[in-house]
Amino acid sequence: MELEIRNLVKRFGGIQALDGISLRLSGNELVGLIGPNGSGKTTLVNTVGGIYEPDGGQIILNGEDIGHLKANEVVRRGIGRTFQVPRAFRRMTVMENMLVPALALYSKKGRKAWEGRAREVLDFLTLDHLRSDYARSLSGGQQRLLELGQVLMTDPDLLLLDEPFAGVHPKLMETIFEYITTVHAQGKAFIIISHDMTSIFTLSQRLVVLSYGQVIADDAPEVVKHDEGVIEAYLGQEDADA
Amino acid sequence: MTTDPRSHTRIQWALALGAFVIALIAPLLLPSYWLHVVIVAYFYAVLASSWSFLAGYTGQFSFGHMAFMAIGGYTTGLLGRYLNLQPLLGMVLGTLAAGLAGLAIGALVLRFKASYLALFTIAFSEILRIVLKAEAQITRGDLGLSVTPLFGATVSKVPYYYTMLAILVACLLVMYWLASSRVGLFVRAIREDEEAAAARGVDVVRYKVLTFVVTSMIAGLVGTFSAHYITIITPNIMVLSQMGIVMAMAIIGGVESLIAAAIGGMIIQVSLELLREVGAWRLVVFGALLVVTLRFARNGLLAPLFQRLFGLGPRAELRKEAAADGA
Repeated sequence: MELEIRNLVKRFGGIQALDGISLRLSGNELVGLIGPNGSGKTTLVNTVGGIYEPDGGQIILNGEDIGHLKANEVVRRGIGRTFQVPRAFRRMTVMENMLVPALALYSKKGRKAWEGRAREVLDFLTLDHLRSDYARSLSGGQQRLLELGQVLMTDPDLLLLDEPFAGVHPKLMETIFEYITTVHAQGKAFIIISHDMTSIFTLSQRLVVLSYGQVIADDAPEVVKHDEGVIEAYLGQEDADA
Repeated sequence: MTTDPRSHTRIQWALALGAFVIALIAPLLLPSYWLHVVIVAYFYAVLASSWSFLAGYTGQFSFGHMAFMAIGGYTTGLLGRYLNLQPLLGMVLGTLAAGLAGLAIGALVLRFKASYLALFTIAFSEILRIVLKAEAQITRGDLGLSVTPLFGATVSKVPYYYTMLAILVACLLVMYWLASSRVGLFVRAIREDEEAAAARGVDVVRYKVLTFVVTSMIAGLVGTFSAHYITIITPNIMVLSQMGIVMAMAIIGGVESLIAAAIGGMIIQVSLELLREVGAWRLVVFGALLVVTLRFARNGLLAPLFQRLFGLGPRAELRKEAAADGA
């Protein structure tokens, strides 16, 4: 897997959400994406994921410019994603939620064939006993796990996870942690947005820091931790000087 | 107390079979007038269930259902009048014309949010109604276009009854098949969250257009039958109040259940006929029922009842598994 983001620009009216972002990912890198609120992290994931169309720049995946593809076409290229607020299909059962991505991408295999795979994934995510329940009856943390399960059903090469630890019970957090490390060990690449600094510093091989739609740091976690620009972006100029 | 799911299945099959047998022998039991009422109830059942497929399963609120019915009716009527086309061929072409119109509108509007479809189809229906009124030299405007009867000089309503029954069963089967296939899964995902469905690989526009075309064709088919049965068609079938009746039937029956919407359509049509003596008050009762349904029963009055009685619902799969384990 080779992803190259070249000078990506996204504007919303007068707001420059992404201001010439360039980034490169290869193999099964696990990259943490951090930055203050409003720095453009979710916009970047939404643009790479095909929800937003870029206003400038390119997103090259394995040599193909995917910048102008729709979200469903991006998934077919091997990029799966979760949302900042879980967006499971609430009035559908957990099993149906799992089958949607599998059947959408791999239409030749029937529903029965995918149910077995879905149960394996649900079992791994400790959700199998809830497979016949409506997704809306799940807790927020369980809905996050369900989204992670949906992503696995598409067998992506790159996973974009937007705040996977936010508002999650510590026990479920362990499950999500295990999910990320296990799937990463299987050769998948990750871009993970998180405000949970402990988790993101532990997990990431590399940290990319955004501020005002620009990359202000891109290095190993230990280096980024002491980067003055990053400290300033998080704490503000006066606090950083103090 | 747990109920054996196999008994639910047996009850469902027994009820379906019983209803079908009653429907088959109805012409032997009903006088001609009531046979007519039931025929009309059947075509409202098709319209209500197809609208519920569009709104309840896919989340697309269209006000164009009666317009597609009119396209079907006028296509077969005009082809018969000017080209002397046989009614059966006219019905096929009328259904296809409604589907083509649905495809054109779907391709144009369904990329946008649901509210655009609602506004667009209101405008489309009104434009079509006014055009059909204005082009009176071709369509005979408000005087109505005479259409040849489907069964020639036959006066009996029995062949019409069985034809409409066949259309009802066929349309319900097609929609049920679609709803229980992966298409049904995708359109329900789209209803829940379009962006999330796209992020899971669903081609949102494609499946929205597909369901819109299918339901347009169903409305068109009903329109062609109605034209050849009533033998006259006027632009007034497209007035907003007619569309409102179909929507209310689906909502009161249960917009997320094809069968509930169909039965809701039949019950309401027959009730309106029974209450004819009270004049306009029947519509007041009907309106009050709609308000109560919208406020207190989001999925209609019949659908929850069916779910409670016959075990239709999200836990059905689990109950089937439990039954299989116990078997």
